[in-house]
Amino acid sequence: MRFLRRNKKLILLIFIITCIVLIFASSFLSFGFISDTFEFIVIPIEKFCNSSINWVGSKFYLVTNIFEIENENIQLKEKIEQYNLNEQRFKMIEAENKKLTNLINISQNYPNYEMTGAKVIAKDTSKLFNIFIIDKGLNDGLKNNMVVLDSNGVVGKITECRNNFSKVSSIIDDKSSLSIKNFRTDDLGFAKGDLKLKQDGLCQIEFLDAAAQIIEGDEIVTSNLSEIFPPGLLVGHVQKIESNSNTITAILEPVADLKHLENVLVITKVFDVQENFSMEE
Amino acid sequence: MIRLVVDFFLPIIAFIINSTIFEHIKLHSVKPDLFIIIIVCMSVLRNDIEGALLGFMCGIMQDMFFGKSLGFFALLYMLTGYFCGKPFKYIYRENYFVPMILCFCATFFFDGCYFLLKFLRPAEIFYALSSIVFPQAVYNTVLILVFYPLMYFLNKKIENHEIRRRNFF
Repeated sequence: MRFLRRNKKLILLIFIITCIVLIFASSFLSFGFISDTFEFIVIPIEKFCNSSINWVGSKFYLVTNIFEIENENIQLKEKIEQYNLNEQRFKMIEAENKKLTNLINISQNYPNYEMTGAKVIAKDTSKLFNIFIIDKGLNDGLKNNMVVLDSNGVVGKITECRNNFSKVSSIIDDKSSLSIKNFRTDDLGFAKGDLKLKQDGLCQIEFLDAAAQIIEGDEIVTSNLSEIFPPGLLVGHVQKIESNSNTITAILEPVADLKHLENVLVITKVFDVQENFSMEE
Repeated sequence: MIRLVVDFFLPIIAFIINSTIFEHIKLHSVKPDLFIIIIVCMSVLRNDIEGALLGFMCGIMQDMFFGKSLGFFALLYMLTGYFCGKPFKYIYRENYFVPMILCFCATFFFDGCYFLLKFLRPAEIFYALSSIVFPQAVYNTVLILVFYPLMYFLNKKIENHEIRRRNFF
């Protein structure tokens, strides 16, 4: 400590230089081994903390909103009956669809993907990015660029995968950009994160064609041009349209509940461009 | 020696609290930053260089789990800790007013540098400062009232330990 107090300026200078060197070095080197050493301490405690907090929160919610929950239960039971009826129809349509696609020899657009569930254990503390950590990593067979879904729709993709955890960056993140299309009219475009809209859990979409026809409430799905995301996954609905003379932009409301994420699904398949090419050949 | 151990483990505890419990005490999607709070408290209670050390550790924790390049948050948190420890010699530690003002300024300093380095469009920086940083600064300042006594108690324990070992001054 005495040494620290005597050579203040020198030590500060050393730390600043170390930081700057690290910033430049991390652009072409990976320092994953440092987080590997810390994950043994941090990740189990975070899992425990998060699960206990969620348990307390859910019990608190149950006690305070018990009458609403009863009403909700009745409504949900009615919905389940409707869905059961729809499922029968869906199965028949699926079988018919299979026959017809076999007849005209095209590959299926929307196959079933294998998924694994994961829990969100930590959320980002900085303001700009929208990153969170899930409790599965390389040891559970996850890889970089895998697609993360909610029970409703697209959440984001895995940006960094370590042994026991992985970082997921969501679609409303500032740096993210996603190729999308309008499900009704097949107009292509991009979904981009925006600083202002991120606060409300929204993002911006921009259409390539200035004559694109969109109306409020249109379903937006991932396009088949996307390198990382498989085509046909539901992203969100159009909330508001802002058209200029040469571009059409709109505000997208993601269907995934990005504010209250607890459990997510990960598609255990990497949709890389090169892989797709080899499949086509 | 005990100080270095605390400097090592305090950021880990703070990181865990910050990314789990603090997610549930959001007000209108404004989340307080526990790192800034403990850095300000510890810089005021000790001195500038130890505040910088603690800031460096906090930044490394943040960089490892959420950052895109190692060292970026470390540099910003370290400078925050260093500047907050500057008035160490001129203040009474029992006064709550100085850490509150320092915390308000530190949040603005940290986030101002952060947004300036991240994107350079003035409109976006102005928006960020007025509607993201300002509410957070107020929230942090209020939370100082909770965390400063805790840190004061912790610091007193450390100093008692050091006095017993005759390693003080």
